[in-house]
Formats: sequence, structure tokens, C-alpha cells
Amino acid sequence: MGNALISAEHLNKHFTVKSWFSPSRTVRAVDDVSLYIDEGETFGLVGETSCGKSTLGRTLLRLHEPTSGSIVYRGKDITKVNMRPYRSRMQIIFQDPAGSMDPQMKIGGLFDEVLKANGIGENTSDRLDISKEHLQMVGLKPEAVERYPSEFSGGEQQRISIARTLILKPEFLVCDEPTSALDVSIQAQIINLLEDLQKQLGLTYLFISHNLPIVRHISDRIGVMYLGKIIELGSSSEVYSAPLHPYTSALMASVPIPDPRSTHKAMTQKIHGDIGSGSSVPTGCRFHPRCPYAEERCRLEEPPFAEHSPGHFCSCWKPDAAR
Amino acid sequence: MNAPLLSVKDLQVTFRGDSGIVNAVRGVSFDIHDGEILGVVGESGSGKSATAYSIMGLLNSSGRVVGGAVEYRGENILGSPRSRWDELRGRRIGMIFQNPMACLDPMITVGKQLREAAQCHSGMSKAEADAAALSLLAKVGVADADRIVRQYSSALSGGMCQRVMIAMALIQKPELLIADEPTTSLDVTVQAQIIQLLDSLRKENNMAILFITHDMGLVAEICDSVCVMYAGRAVERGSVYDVFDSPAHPYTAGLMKAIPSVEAGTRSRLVSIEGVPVNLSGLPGGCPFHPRCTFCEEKCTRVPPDTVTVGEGHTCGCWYPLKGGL
Repeated sequence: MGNALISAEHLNKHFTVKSWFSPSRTVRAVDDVSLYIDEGETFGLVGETSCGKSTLGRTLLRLHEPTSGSIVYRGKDITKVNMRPYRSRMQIIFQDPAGSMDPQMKIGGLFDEVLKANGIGENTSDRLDISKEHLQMVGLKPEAVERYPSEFSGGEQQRISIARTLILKPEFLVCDEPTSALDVSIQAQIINLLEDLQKQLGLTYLFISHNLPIVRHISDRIGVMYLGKIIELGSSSEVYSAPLHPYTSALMASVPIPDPRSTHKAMTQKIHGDIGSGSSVPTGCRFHPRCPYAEERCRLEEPPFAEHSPGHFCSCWKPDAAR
Repeated sequence: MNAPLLSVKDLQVTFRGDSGIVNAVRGVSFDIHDGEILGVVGESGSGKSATAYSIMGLLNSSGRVVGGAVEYRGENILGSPRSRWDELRGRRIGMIFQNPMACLDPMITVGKQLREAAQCHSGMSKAEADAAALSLLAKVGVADADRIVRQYSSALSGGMCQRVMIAMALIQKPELLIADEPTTSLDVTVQAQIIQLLDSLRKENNMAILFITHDMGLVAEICDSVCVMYAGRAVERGSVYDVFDSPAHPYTAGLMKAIPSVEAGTRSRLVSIEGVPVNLSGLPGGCPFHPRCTFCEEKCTRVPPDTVTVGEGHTCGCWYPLKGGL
């Protein structure tokens, strides 16, 4: 890793679920994950619901305190430090932009609050100028400061939430399903905007999504998560065109291809069932109950996360089985 | 061709909203034949769900069908008395929804709900209904049906609930299944299983499916024909081959270009459709798509386009249909 902006070593995030009626359970939402993200890179994180991809994103920002392991930002261990100086440099955007905006406040007020809290801008008019400038950066009219969040469509709200994170001049942005709630025609606008901003401002992204074509499009490298673990990691093109893990190949094969003449049909895939729960992770390889190639060893021993070709890692006993 | 199973003719639906009357569906027509899967695609506010709910007579109290006809085997079922609906719904026409969890009663076991669905108007005994439920659950890919029927919906995963709901919709062997975004809340691996299931059920029972989705990929995957909706209108209709090979409406063409392909190697820029989705309470004059259309001419801003035939069974609502795609 040459210029890693952020990296994690053996990161764990476990949640304890307490209940009156049953013994408390531990959910291993993030389970021994190590990764690094280079400066200016887009790292895509894919996986199904409840695989822990959002938790991993939030734990990297220490919005969740890690259970164990370490996080290093620009060469400095930030696992235990006061995050205050880092907050403005490490930001997150969410799936539901409206959820992070007070519906009673005008856009100008929402921006002003953030600027004031961070001591940016000398007076109100100065802060208003900064707000307008950032709205223009994301393709909105500066007059938007006079309007309320509900007056905007979903795509515009996402632009506003991106603009609001940008006024703090972040270096690292966690994008947690930023386009999932948007219509197809609007998704492409937001993806293009994120790519433009990355070029202009040299941003580094952790892009979390369950939408494989979009992750493939925007990412340089990709990690595939399954029940809290990254089970495959490599360059975007390698993971998509030559997946090693049977789960990754099944995931790729499940994406419908928008061409009625395509001979590949998502229907012909072989895996069954669904992902299960992080509170009862199967023994051995956690994918074995759904894996068509599972054998005795997979049920008993957890496969190591091994490098199969430079930069392409996979955790599977039979990495070529799906080929 | 035989007479269609279902024929929607110039359907018009309005909703009463805070800011007055909203025209959600404005003159939609299409046919579905036995054993055919028709995909209805469109974005939020395009009127696709309102169309489906009208066919089922399930519009909520603020919605009203104000014009057109829905003919089921030649009989106009709009405005039928309740007793006629009871004969149709569930028995002849089944429906599955986007959120299966919300459609199952959390206080009744899955088995009992299935039994209820089977016995409704069918005169089946309890034992017959239970047997039918078990065999159907097995058919929709539930491995341990004996155990599942004793469970409550909250104990089941989303994919399992969707299977239960499909079983419930199919238990009286309907001729038409209306599927409103049946896989949108599911993960792709489970989505693939459900799609596979719907396709095999269609083949076995010669059942027709009205498949509502926003995913062009799914349309290509299982549909025979497609109806693209925008702002309450069917802007393009045709077989999947015609529509995917040579989309005639700029909106359809834009939708297809906006999807990044898994196979595409390079990080080329996505082609987006500019502007914002249509707001039904403030529709622009002329063609509703004109503010976002790259081919917009003066005429488009004034006069709503007629539906024209661009090929055999391929129609398009545009003044300047594209030739040979983009």
C-alpha cells in the first residue's frame, strides 16, 4: 500500500442484542476485516442486506466504536483518539438525504448551521456566499438557499446533502447507498456528479451499494462482503470478470442483463436460500450452507484470506470451483 | 391472435391530493394474452402502480377511475358489483406486492393464512386446503414447508415471505398474476430465484403476468412485451425485442443508456436523463417529457403527441420517434 489514506487492521464490530425473553446474542456485524483505501481511489463495498457493509463504513468513521482492531488515517492511529479534528475531513452521505435535514429549516439555514459549528466564514453574508457557491458546485441554483428540503426531488435532495458535506472540505467520503432511493434516470446524474467532484477535489470514496453495475462502474477496487467478512477483494475489473469466490460469481450471475437476446440468464444460477443472520454465523466457511461446491473441509475450517494474484484476495478453499 | 385475456382501454385515474386533483393515469391501453408476461416499466409517479390497482379494483379512497375500460375476457369489470370482484380477485386474478412482510398478518401463522386463501369461495375442506398449501409451498421453493406453515411471518426472511405471498396468490390457480415490483426489496440472489420461479409457473399453468418494475434488466430477462410509462401515459409499447433493439421514444432510449452495464470494461461516463422526474400536479404542456428531452422541438412544447405505430405491434407516443435506436 503506497498512499493509503485510511486503513483498517483486524477490525471488529460486534453488537450485543439483549432481550427479555431470550439469552442475549452477539451479532458479528464486522468480523476481522482488514483493508486500505488509497488517496483519490474509489473503493466499492458490495454485498446483500445485513452483510455488514454499512456498519463497516460507519466503524471506519468511528460513528460506531470498533470492538477491536485498529484504524489508521494518514499514518496515524485514530482508533482511540478524539475524533473532533478528523470529523470535517471524514464525512458520510446517506441513502435517504431528507432524513438528515430538518424539514422546518431552509437550505440556507441548514448550511449556516454546519458552517457556524465548524467556525467557517466570518459573518452571515460570508457564510451565505459559501453556501451558494457549494450549491452551484453540485449543479443547483444558488437561490435554493431560500427553499425548504421538501420542495426538492429526491435527486436534488441528494445533491444538497453532498453540497453540505463538501463545505467542510472533506478528504474521505463514505457514500452509503447514495443512489438506491433514486429513479434510474436520476441515479446516473448523481454518479456522474460524484465522479466529477472526485476529479475536481481529489476526494477518496468508500462507495457502499448493493447495486453491482453501479459499483462496478464507479470503483477502482471492490470488496465483497458476506456475513461480516470481506470474502473477496481485488480490482474492479478482476472481481467482475474473473471472480474467485463462488458467492461473488453467484452475485454477478444474479444481475439481470438488459438485453433480451442475452444468452446469460440470471435465472440459471445455482445458489439457494438467503444470507442468514450475523448472530448465528455458520461454522467453517460462512458461505458453505449456500455453496454448491461445499465439501467436508468447508464445513469445519474457515478458509484463509489468501492472495491468489497480485492484489486479488479471496477466502475460499476451492477458489476455482465456480469457473 | 386470440382474444386477449385482459384488455385495458384508455384508462384514466385521478387522485384527490392536498393540492387538488392529480391525473395519475392519463389514457393507458394495453392487452395481455394467456401465458404472456407484460412488463410495465416506469419511474415513481409514472402511474404504473395506479394502473395495476385499478385493474384489481383496489384503489384507495382518494383514487378514482374516471374513464376507460378494463376488459377481462371481453367483460368490462370496472364498476362491477362487489360480488363480481369477489369472484375475480384471488380466484381469477392474483396479486403480489413489493413488501411481502406488510401483506402477511403477523398474528396468524403462515399456514392458517394460506388455508384461508385456499378456502375462500372454493368450498375446499380444511384438510384439502392444507394439503394444497403444502404442495404449493414446495413448488415455490420452500424446502421445509411443514415447519414454515407453523411459523409467523416475523420469523421468516424477506425472500421466504415473498415465496409465501406468491403461494397465496397462486393457490386458486389464477389466470392472471399482477406482480407489483415483487423483487424490489429483495437481494439479487433471492431476486434471481423468484424470477426463475415466476417464469416456471407461467409455463406450467399458462398464467399471464403483469409485471410492474423499474428495472429494465428484469424486463429483458422474463418479459415477452413491455409497456413504458411516463407521467401517466404509455409512451412506448412493443415486444421486448423491438423495444430493446430499437427504442422509439427518447425516454425509453434514455432509460436504457442510463443503466451501467456489468460487462462494460471502461469507466466511461454514464448517460443520464437530465432534469427531474415529472411532478404530476404541475405537468408541462405538450409532451410531458419535453423539458427533459434532447430531441425536443417547438411542436413538442405545445401539442401532446399522438400514439403512432412504428413497427408491427410497436407503438410510441412521440412526435419524432427515433429510428433504429440512439
